[in-house]
Amino acid sequence: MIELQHIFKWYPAGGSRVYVLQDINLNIEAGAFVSIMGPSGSGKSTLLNIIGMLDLPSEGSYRFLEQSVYDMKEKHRVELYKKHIGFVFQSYHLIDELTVYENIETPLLYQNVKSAERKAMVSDMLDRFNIVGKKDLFPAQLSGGQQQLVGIIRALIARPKLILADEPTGNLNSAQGEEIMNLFQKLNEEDKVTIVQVTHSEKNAAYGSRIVNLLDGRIQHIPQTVHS
Amino acid sequence: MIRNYFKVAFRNLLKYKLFSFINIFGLALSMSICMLVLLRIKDQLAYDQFHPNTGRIYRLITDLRNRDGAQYRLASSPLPLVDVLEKDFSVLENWVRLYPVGVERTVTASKELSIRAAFTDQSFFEVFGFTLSRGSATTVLSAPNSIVLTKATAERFFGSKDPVGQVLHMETLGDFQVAGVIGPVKGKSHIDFDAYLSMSSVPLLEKAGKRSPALDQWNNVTAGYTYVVLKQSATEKQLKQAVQQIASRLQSDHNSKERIAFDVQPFSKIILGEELFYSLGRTGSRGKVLAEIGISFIILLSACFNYTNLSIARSLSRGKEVGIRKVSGAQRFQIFSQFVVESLFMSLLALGLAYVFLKMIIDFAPFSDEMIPAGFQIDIELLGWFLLFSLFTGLLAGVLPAWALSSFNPVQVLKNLSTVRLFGGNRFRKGLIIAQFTLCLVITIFTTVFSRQFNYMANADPGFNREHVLSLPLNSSKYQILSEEISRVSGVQMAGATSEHLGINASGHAPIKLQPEAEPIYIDYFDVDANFIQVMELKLLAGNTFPSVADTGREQFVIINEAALKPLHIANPTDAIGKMAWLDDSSVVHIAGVVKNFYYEGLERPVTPLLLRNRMNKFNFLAVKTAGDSKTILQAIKAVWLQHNAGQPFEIRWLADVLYEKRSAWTTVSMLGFLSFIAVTIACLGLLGMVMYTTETRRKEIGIRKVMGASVAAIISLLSRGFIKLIIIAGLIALPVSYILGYLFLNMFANRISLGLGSLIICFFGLLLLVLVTIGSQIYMAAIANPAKNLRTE
Repeated sequence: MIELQHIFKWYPAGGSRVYVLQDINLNIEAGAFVSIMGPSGSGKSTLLNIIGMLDLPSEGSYRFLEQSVYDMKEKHRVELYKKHIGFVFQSYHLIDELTVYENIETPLLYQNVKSAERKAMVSDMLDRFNIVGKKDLFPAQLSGGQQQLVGIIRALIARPKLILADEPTGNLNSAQGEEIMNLFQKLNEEDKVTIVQVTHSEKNAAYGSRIVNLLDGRIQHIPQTVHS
Repeated sequence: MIRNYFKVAFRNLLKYKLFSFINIFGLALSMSICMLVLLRIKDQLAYDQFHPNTGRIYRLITDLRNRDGAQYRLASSPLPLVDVLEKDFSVLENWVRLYPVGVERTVTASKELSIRAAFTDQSFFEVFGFTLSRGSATTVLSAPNSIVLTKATAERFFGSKDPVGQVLHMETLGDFQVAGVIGPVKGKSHIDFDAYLSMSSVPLLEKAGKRSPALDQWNNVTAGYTYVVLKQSATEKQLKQAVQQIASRLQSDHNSKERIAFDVQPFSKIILGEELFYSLGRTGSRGKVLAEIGISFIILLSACFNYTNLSIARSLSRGKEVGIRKVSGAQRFQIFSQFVVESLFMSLLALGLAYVFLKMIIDFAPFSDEMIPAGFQIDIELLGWFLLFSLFTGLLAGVLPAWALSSFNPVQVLKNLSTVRLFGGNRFRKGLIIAQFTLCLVITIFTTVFSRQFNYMANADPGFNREHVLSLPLNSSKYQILSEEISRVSGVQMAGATSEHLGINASGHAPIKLQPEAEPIYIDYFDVDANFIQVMELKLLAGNTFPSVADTGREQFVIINEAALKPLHIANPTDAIGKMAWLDDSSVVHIAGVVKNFYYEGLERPVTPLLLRNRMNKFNFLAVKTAGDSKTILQAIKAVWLQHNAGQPFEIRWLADVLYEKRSAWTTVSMLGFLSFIAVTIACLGLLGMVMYTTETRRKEIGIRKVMGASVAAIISLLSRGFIKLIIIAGLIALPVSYILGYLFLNMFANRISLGLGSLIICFFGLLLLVLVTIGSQIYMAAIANPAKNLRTE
C-alpha cells in the first residue's frame, strides 16, 4: 500500500543542511498496524506527515495504492488523501466552534457527500461508538478521552483505507489510552483499516503488528515482529 | 456547506465578543457615513431625468474675462443671445429662456408669501415637458402679466380653491393673473421655481422702470438662462460654432479689455457638472460630491483595515481550524470562500447597525437640513444599493485575510501556531496602524483649526457694534413712523434702518465715478438711514451722516469708507466731503462723509470700497440699539411693531446671534467633528484589537521575562513602547501635513488666527493620551499575569 523509497528531508541551516529524515525506505502492506517509535526529534512526525501527504520530502519517491504520489498534480494528491487517509492527532484538533456532530461531519462536507447521506453516515458512527447522547456538545464539554474518540470517528467517517495517528494517546491517562488502543486494534482486525501510529510508549506499540524504529532520521534496521 | 460556514461565523462572533464588537461597530459607523453619501448622490442623480429630448437640449453658457483678467464661467447668458441665434443660424428647433426675478414678496387678498419666480417663454412647457393641471400649455404664458404656479405654490396661496383667474400682487412687479397650474411633476428638476411669469410682461415692466433693462442688454450676462433644442439634423459642434460666431461679433463692437464668449452645455451634464458661477437650481457640486466620496471611502477603508488587522491577528485561533479543515480535505478556495462568507455575514450585520445610525442621523439631523435631501425616502431601490454596498464592504475587508488564512500550511499550523507569520510579520499591520492614526491626527487638527478660525471670526471685533442691537424686519410698514415710535420705547437708545445686516453680504454693487467721463469703479453698497451710523457705532473720519433733507425720492448723498478713497483718487478723508459722484450712470450724489473701515462682509473678507446710500425704499431691517437685553424692552418693542404689522409673525433677533450663526459655520464644524470622532474611534478600536493580539502572542515571552525577574513596570514599558513609537511616527507624518493644510486653509481668510504649534501639539498629545488609555488595561493585564500559567499552556 505504501512504498517509500530514498526519502530525504532536510532544512537549510546556514550553509549546511539539517537532516530530519535520511534515506527512508519503507513498505507497508494493506491491513498492517505499524508503530513508528523513536526519541524526540527523530523525525517520526515528519515521516507520518509525508505518508499523509501533508508534507513533501526534499527527495525521494512515494507510491500509494500503486500510484506515484509525487508525479501527480496537487489537486489529485488532495483527492487521494482525502478519500483514503484519516488523521488522528495527539491534541485531538477538533474545531472548537463546532459540535461533536458537526466535527465528525466536516470531512464529508469536503467530499461533496449529499446531506441525507451525510446524516446517515454520521448517525451510524455515533451509534456504533455509543456517543449519540453527546452529539450536540462542544469539544470543550468533553473529557480528553471522549475528544480523542470524536477525533478518531472523524478520521473514520469517510471510510479511509489508512489511519495515521500522531501520538493518539499522548494527552490521555492510561485508562483512556488503553481504550483508544483497543479501538485501533479492533478497527485494524475487524474493518481491515491500515493503521500507522507514532508513539513513545512500548506498551502502545505492542498493539501493532510491526515497529519501525527511527533514530536521527534513519530507520534502525532491527527487524522485529511483535506478537500480541 | 454554506450553512456550516454561517454557523461557524455566528459562533465565532459570539465567542470573540470584543473582536466582533470592534469590527461591526467600526464598520457600521463608517458604513453609515457612506450610506449617507450614497443617499445624497442618488438623490442628486435623480434630478433632470424626466425631461423629453434631453439628448438634444443644450444650455448656452458664458465665459467672461473681466478687466483684471479674471476668468469666470457662468451658467447664465445674456437674454438677447438666443434671438440672434434663432435669426442668423438654422440649428434650433425650439428654445426657452428663464429670467429669474429673485425672491418676491407676493400678496393675495388673504395671504402674503415670498416666492421665487422667473420670467419664461411660452415654449417652456414644450421644451422641458412640464405638464399643466390647469390651463393650456400653448396659451398660459402668452399674455403679459400672466403667472403659472406650481401645484405646491398654488396650494400655499389658495388652498383647495381654484387659483385660475385670481390676481397676485408682486411687490416690485405689480399684479399678475394666475393662468395655469403646473401639474404633478414626474421627477426632480434643477428648474424648480415656485412660479413662472410670462416673458411678454418684461418689456412693459422695463418701460415702467420696475425692472432694469435686460431683454436687449448684451452685457447683462447674469440675467437669465437659455436652453435650446437642436434640430434633429444639427450637431453640438454647429451650435458651438454658432454661439462662438455671435461672441466674436460682439467683441468687435466693444473695444475693451473685457472679453465675452459663449459655450454650450449638454442638458444631461448640468447635474453634477462643472462648477459654474450663477448656477441655477440644485445642480449639486461635482467637487463636493467627489470630496464626500473620498472622505467616506477613506473612513470606510480605515474600518476595513481594522477588520483585516484583527482577522490576521486572530489567525492564531483560526489557524488551527484552517489546518483541521485542510487535513479533512478542504481545498484552498473552500477555506477562502468560508472566510469571505464570514466577512460578508459580518458586513451584513454591520449594515443593520449602520442603518440604525443612518436613521438616527436622518431623524435627529444633527448637522443641518441640507445634509438630507428634502422629501427623500428610503425606497427598495436604495435598500438594494445599501445591500450591494455592504457586500462590497465585506469583500473589501475580507478578501485579504481570507486569502492569507487559506494559505496556511496544515502541518505548520497544527504543530506550532506561533511560528506562522503573515504578510512579513508585523510590518504590514504596523503600517496600517500608522496610516490610520496619521489620518486621525490630520482630521482632528484640521477640525480644530477650522473651528478656531470660525470661532475667531464670530467673536472678533468687525469694526461695528454688535452688542445690544436688535434686528426687526421692516415689512411693508412705514419705516419712519415705526422707527420714531420704537425710539420712544424706554430702554431703546436709537433705531436705524438698513437694507441688510452688516457682517453678512453687501446689498449690491454699483459703478461710481467722480467725473462723468471717467472709468467707473465698482463699489459695494448698503442702503441705510442717518441714524444707522450711530446705532452701529461706525466712526466718521470726516464729514457727517446723511443730512436730513426732504424726501424727494431722489438720491442726494452718500457716505464712503476709507478703502474707497484710493480707487477714487482722493488723498484724504476731508477732501472727499462734498465731492460729486456719478452713480449707476444716472444719479449724481454728494459725498457726505467718510467712515473708518469695518468688516462689512465679515472678517474672512478683506475690506473693499463701500458706499452707504440712503434710499428709503430699499430698507429691509430696523436695527435697534437698546440699553440692555431685558424682556420688558423686547415686549414693548413687539407691541409697537405689531401695531404697524398686524397679523404678521413677529420675528426679532439679536444681531450678535444672527452673525454668530452665520459666521461660526456650526454645520461644517459639527460635521467635521463627527467625522474626526468616527476616525478616532475606529483607529482606537483597531489599536485595541492589535494590543490584544500582541499581548497574546507575546505571552510566552512575558512569562519568560518575568521568571527571569522583570518587574511589572519593565514589562509595561516593553509592551507599550512599540505602540507609542507607531503613534509618534504617525505624529511625525501628520503634524507637517496638517500644518501645511491648515496654513493653506487659513490663507483663504483676510483675518485669521495664527496657526500656532501649540494647538497641533495639544492635538497630538490628546491622541497619545487616548491611545495610552486604550492600550493601558490590556497591557497591564498581560504584565501582571502569572508567568507559570502562561508558560505551561505553551
